[in-house]
Amino acid sequence: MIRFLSINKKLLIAFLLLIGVFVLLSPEIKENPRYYLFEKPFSSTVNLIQSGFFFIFDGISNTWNGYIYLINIKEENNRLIEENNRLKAESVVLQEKALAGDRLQQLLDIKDTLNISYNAAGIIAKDPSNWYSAIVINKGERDRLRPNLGVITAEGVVGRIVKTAASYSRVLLLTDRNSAVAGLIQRTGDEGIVAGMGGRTLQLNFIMIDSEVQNGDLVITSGTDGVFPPGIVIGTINKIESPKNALFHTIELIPGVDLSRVREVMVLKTPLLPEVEKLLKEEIE
Amino acid sequence: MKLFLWGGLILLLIAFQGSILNPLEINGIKPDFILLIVYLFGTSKGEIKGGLLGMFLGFMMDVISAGPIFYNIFSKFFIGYFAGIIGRWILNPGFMLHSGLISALSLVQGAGTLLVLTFLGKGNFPSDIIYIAIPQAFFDGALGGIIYFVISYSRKETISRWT
Repeated sequence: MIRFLSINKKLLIAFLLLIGVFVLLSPEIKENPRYYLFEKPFSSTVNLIQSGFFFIFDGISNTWNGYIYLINIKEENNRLIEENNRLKAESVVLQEKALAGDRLQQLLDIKDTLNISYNAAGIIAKDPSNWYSAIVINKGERDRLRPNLGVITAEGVVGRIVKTAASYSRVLLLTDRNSAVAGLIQRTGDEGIVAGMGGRTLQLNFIMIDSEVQNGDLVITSGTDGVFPPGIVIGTINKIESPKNALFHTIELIPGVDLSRVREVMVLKTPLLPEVEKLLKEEIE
Repeated sequence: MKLFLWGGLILLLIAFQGSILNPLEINGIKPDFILLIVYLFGTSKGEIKGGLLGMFLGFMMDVISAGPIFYNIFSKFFIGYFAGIIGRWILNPGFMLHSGLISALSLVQGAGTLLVLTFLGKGNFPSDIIYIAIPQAFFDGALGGIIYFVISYSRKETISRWT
């Protein structure tokens, strides 16, 4: 062993130096909102192969769902008819409320914040590691996507774009430990920051101890982070701890979206605030 | 030509880890197929080749991962290198021993990731060890043992067919 090490010492040192350089440079590489020149050929080729895998498996899955899975369709149809009738009744009430809201909005001269265009995208890959929660979507700069755009589904918030290339983008999921979204408890109106925990749950921070928060309360986006418009579901409160002499509650949330089953997403093209745009340009330069 | 073949194989393996392995997830944990490949390659080809493959695969994994630093380039290099030493120093290890060693290496890699995350203020001890590192070590060990068993069995079959 010692003899082997002495023969290969130079080679080993060269390897370690090369690895050391990459490890030391990596925070700078990782934080950049665009892919570096040396990253592009590797990530583009891998994503191209993954798009191929996605295409094949999506085809198989669609065939399965379209033809073989027809057995449950009658049952599903009856359930949907019932749900449709219920939703029709609810929609009448909601339409009335919306009209009242419009009238109030006109009175208060508030701008329509939900008038945002969006792009639909498919998920082609997930993070290769279990320690980080990210996905790759099949839309990029060609579709005018850029870092810091919000990604959602009909069920709620999925995450935000952190890195873009010409035809694909990396989305940091809500559950990742580096993720944070401005949220508020719908019932009480208390605002806080929802942060990922690295697992399947989220944490709602900075909710004052005197807030009358309850299990099952819905947490929605507050719109103050400039990424998501207000009113999109983030999750439901699952656990509340209120330690003595503490300033804030410790609140655990279950995300509204089952992130392990998401296949298609919508990217919100939120217009950038002029100050933020200036800062981003400076960062890229 | 050989270099292009190796490059293609590395890209294919990385794409495989990020897409096809996803349905194998159990409670949010999927096996680290790259670790298994590096380990099995290292045991059969030696320290230098194992370390080199580990370094390239780790680098590729880091490029497409959302992790805050390039950590896999370091961990996979050592796994490949260590596997090479195991391959040379342990005579005829069975699949059970390989399974145990893969689990141990996966656990060490997980502990290293947690150390990096803790240093960056993002680690959650002990929940990350309990819910990510230990289940992944078991998963990797089990899958690695099965793959080794299949490879060694098919090799024996091939040899007996020709003798």
